[in-house]
Amino acid sequence: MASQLIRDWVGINTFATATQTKLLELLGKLKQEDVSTLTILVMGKGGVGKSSTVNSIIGERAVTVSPFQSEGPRPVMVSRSRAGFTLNIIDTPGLIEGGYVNDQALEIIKRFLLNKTIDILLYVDRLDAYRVDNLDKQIVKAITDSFGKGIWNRALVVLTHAQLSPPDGLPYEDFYSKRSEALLKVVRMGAGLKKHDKQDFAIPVVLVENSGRCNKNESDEKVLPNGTAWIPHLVKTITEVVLNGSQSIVVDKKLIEGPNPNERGKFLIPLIFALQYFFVIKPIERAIKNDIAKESRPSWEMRDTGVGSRKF
Amino acid sequence: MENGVGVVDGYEKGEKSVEVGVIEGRVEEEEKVVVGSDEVKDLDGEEVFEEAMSATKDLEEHGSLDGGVGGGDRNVEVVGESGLHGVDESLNGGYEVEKFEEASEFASLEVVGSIEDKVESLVDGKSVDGVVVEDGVDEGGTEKEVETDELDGLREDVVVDSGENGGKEVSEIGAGEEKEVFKGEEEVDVKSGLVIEKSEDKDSDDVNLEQMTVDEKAESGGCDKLEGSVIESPVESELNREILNEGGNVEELKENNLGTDCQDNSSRELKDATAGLVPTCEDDSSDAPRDTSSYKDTEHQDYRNGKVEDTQVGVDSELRVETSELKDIPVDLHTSVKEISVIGSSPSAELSKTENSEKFQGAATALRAEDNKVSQLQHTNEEVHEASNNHVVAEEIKTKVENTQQEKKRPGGNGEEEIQPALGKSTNPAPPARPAGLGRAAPLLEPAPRVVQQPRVNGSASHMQNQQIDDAVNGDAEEYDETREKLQMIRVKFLRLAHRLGQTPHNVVVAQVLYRLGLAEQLRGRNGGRVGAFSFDRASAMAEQLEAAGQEPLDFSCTIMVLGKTGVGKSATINSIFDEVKFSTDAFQMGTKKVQDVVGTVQGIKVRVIDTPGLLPSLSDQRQNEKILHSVKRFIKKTPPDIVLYLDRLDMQSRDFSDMPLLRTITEIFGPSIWFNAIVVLTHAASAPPDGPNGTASSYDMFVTQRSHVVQQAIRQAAGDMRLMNPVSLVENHSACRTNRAGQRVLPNGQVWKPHLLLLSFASKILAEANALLKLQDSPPGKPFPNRTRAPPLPFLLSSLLQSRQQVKLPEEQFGDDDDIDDDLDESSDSDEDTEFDELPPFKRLTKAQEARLSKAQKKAYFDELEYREKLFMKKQLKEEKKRRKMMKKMASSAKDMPSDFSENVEEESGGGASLPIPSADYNLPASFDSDNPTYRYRHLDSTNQWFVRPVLDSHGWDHDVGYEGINVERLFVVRDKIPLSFSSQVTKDKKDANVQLEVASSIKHGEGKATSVGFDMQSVGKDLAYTLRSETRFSNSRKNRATAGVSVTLLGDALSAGLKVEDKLIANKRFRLVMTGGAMTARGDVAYGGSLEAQLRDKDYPLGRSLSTLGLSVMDWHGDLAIGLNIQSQIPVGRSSNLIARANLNNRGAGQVSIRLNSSEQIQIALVGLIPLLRKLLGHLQQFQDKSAFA
Repeated sequence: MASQLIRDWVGINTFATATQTKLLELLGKLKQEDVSTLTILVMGKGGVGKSSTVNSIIGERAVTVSPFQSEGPRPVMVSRSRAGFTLNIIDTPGLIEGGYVNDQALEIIKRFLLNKTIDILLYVDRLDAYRVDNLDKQIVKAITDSFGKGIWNRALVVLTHAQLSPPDGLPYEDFYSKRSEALLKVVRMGAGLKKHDKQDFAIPVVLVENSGRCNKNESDEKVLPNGTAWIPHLVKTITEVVLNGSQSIVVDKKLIEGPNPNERGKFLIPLIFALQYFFVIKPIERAIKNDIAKESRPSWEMRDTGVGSRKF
Repeated sequence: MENGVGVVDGYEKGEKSVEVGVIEGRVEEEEKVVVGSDEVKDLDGEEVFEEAMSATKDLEEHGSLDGGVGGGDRNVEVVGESGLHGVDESLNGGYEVEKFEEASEFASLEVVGSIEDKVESLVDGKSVDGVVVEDGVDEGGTEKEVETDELDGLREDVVVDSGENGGKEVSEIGAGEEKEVFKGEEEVDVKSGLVIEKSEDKDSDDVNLEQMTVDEKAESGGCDKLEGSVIESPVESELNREILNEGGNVEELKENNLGTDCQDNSSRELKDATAGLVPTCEDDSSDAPRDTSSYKDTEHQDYRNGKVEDTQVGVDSELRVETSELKDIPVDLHTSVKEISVIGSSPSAELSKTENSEKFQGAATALRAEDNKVSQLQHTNEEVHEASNNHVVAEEIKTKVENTQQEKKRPGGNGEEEIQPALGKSTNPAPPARPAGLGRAAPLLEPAPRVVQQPRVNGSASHMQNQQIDDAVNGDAEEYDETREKLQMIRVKFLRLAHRLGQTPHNVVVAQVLYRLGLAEQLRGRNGGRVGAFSFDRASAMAEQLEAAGQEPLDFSCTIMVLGKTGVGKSATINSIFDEVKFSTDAFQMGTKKVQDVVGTVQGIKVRVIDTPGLLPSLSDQRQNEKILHSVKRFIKKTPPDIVLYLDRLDMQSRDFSDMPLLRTITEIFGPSIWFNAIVVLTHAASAPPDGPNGTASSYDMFVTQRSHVVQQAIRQAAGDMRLMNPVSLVENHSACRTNRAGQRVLPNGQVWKPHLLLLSFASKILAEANALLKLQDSPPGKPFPNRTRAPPLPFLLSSLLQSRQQVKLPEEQFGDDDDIDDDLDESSDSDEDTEFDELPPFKRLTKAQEARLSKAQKKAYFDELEYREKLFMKKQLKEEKKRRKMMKKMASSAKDMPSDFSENVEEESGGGASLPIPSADYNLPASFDSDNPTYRYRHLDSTNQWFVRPVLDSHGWDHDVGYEGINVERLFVVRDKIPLSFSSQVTKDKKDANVQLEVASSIKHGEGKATSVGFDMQSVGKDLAYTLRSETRFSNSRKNRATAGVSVTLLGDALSAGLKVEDKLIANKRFRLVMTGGAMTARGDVAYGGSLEAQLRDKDYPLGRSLSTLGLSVMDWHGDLAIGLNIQSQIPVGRSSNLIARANLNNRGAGQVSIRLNSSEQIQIALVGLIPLLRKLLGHLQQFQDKSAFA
């Protein structure tokens, strides 16, 4: 929201020094590429950790998180600036309610996003959910329908709750790759991406662990079980996606409301008219004329008109 | 005492001088303490003793017997192997005991106390003892730790913690022989506690525990020692032998003494137990929250406070229950207990913070010995201070620990070495990698310490006495009928199940089931609480025997069906239940494609589990779900599951009602009843709780509570029954789940989940069995009010049968008076007065002005005249009316001869008014206009339709605004021109329930004076519909007498009742008539008789003269329950415009009512003035009367 204050990004100071340096480096890189504003849209099911992720990236409790209740139905934008670089993160409410995609919530989100530019979409889900189902697909579809297929060029799949020990004794990496593969498949299906799009839409998957219990490495960075510090990795991936040359999504009225139905197919009107004229009206007229010409009049009519001359 | 000493001696021979010293000291101390109640204590001591003595083998047995107390069995078994293990476990055992009962707390306190004693005694003498003292102190310290652990472990099944505790303690203290000894003692205490429990089987005779522990300590310092040695037995086999010998003796002793004592206690205890249980059960839900809240408060205090609170609460409530019995407590015991607790508290006060002391005080308050204690506390404190100068500070203790380690070697060189490795083995094995965040937290669902059951401390003696009295009284009432035996078998079965699952009767689930069984039994056979006591006792004894005899197959099998979302771990849970891979699972694919079942045995119990394919949460997938569920339904048609597990993940936050479609589908397909015996199972229970709003991790309990609440709530909504309360069980199938020593998977809260889950499942099956046996109506939790109508309300039916009804009449007869006999009777007299009115001279009414001018006498005369004339006029009108009616009758009969004519008439009639709907006649409108009155606000139109439809007004309904909540439809048909058929029905619906009433009646006249009417009624009674078919025939054999006989058949619910009635109506003369009715109604071999008599005396010319007196008498006999009601009503006109109505009724229960009402329309002021004193007087009388009748 424009009215919202853009505050100084102090939260970055709460990160470990190593993380800070990495982040600043990445921001610098972005600035080099002439990107001074980054707007990130966070979407996903309810309760997967969207808000927590936002808080983790910002480094402060910018968005209220409650483990058991869902937050209000309104999206929230958090803006932070640091050294001339502005980071906007838009946190959205969970899209699922009662087993289907909540269109109303989606509508609210779209209105909220009006006249904003989305640079990055974070599609959030949990790493430790084993299965994917139709709901996931529906959400992806809803997002695609709202913002267009192009948004997946700028999308990251974020898997929260990354700190887990995989079931059935699977190695962590295997589990991760399987899960992300399954999810990506759903995303591709939901977004209606074709096989050949696969290359264009290489959606990166990033792991996140928002819990305070997250392990830390020697330089006090939060690390995943596979040893990577996830905050810098996330930001790095974001940077890469930003710089991959695709278009940011500008949310305008057209995108929200869809094309004006009155405009659609307008050019066909004269054409159809012409067709009607030549192929409907003309033949009918001709047929009538023919009929009239061929008509054989009954005798009594002839009599009245005096055509026939008969003697009574 | 002697035994104790003897043992001590024996022990001395057995080589350990230091320990002996300690023991002696202790013994002395104890002697002091226990002074008073030697005998009892001896007995108890011996018991304990025996238990102790029966050496390792025995121990193991006991352990296994005690099993549930806290995985005690395992512990004990381990005892055999390595001293330390044993110690640890014993400690845990102790804690567990604590957990379940306060008594155990006392036990532990006593342990502390004993240590204290030791300390003191040691202080007195020997340098060697110094070390011991320190150890003792250390013990105190460790105790403290232990307690914290306990607290953790409280809810857990101990075993888990044992390892850790052991490890901690040992590492810190460095342990030693002494420690072992001490622990040995503890163990003894604990054990004794266990033993006692076992012997009494039941909830906790804390009293006994109290005594026992005390006693043990008293005389069985030796005994304790023995325990210690037993523990060490692997180390020193010689000792063992000795002990065994000793044991032999004691065993005998014990058997003699115990036999009587204990049983009495126990049985009586049971009663208490049930008493105690009641609150437990109720508390069930509330408990958890309470606990958690306390935990919240005291996060940093390791839940200690929480515990304390609980216990205190428990104590209080218990106290309330048992205050009456307090007096009976032998003073000695009292004091001794007191002392011990005091002593206990001193070290704790020093070493282990105030919580302990709090706890102790809680206990102390229970004992009502606070004052003493406090003083003594200080005293002991001082002593301790002096004795071991600087134990007060923990650090110092640690240094001491080091010392002790050095010293340790002295007592038994080999001791330490052996212990250490053992330790290493037992405790060090690092717990396997756990799933993320296996934090420890207090458990929630696990049998929270039900303190309620505990402090029977004070009650014991009195209990015993009561019990004995009871026995004497009830001795003859020992008719254990078959069902009771069967129930008993069920109980035994359940106890065996529980036992196999390693649960004691103290486990909440077990206790609840037992309680419910007892309750069911009581409901069934109406003899008070003692049933439960005996049966429980016997049951547990039997169960024990059977279990001890070996794992003979148990006649029990349970079918469990597993339902849930896909990927929550249904198949994995089944695999975990059987501990082998029965179904293949895959994290990413739908593992289970079709419904399948597997049969296996768990702990010797046959279990059949039905696995189902996962369901999908999305709304669009519900079709698919339906398909799955239908296949499930087909599958379970033949063998329905006993219990349904609904699985969900603990760590998935299914907020936003995302599971609603799924739950709804389940409800749709299986019906809401599926939820009545469903258990909510939350898998992935080892997941870490999410961060709270302030960033700190929320407690595991909170997490579990919240999640369970969410799921339960969702189920409630889906089932549409807000009273559902599905039990929740936690499950963790992860291979990396923390396990205890026995290899059982343990949750972060320390609960061993599998037994809990199975127990819950079995419990519901057991209860179902019991219900079936007792033929109790299965009242699912959702329906607390089972249909009472199953036993048809005979009196109600009878009275409705006895009611005399009008015969349905043809439309043309409609205008007939209710009794045309009147006409007949009147007829004769009619003619003479006929012209009276006309003969009167002309009369002109005066205007008001003229009236005012009249003198008083004139006025009176005028009004009299006026009244007379009015009367006559009305009489005349009446007569004319009658005449008209007679005419019509005649016409009707003539019309029959010319049917065409008549039918035309009818048509005309029906068609005549068809033009316009007109506002129908209103009900009585209230005298003053009130816009809020629904009768004024809503009018309805009377259509000319043959169907007469009108709304039903209920001004006292739930909606005061619109009182119309029903509709009434009536119609009178004429079948074949001579059979009237009336139809009327009424449907009312208010917020709660809908009522339907339908009545179809018809009557046929055959012959002169004979008429038969047939009717069919349908009306809703409660939730059922009652269908009544009735028929009656009326014979008017003479003018003055008419008799009616009728039968009726009613189908209500599934009960059919039939009734018969005879009625006779006697009309003596114009003024007096009498109706007598008698009837009987029978259903299911149940008969109700009833009769009524109604006499009516009325004014000579009734409709005009208003005086009327009625006397009604009704008698009803049902179940030998005679109800007689008498009703007198009299209405007498007083003067011209006043009316006095007196009414009185009385029934044979002595309840009655008298009311007198005076209406007057003239000189109201006077009437009012006259009424005031009258009313007052009457009120006074009435009150007296009512009081009297109320008391009668």
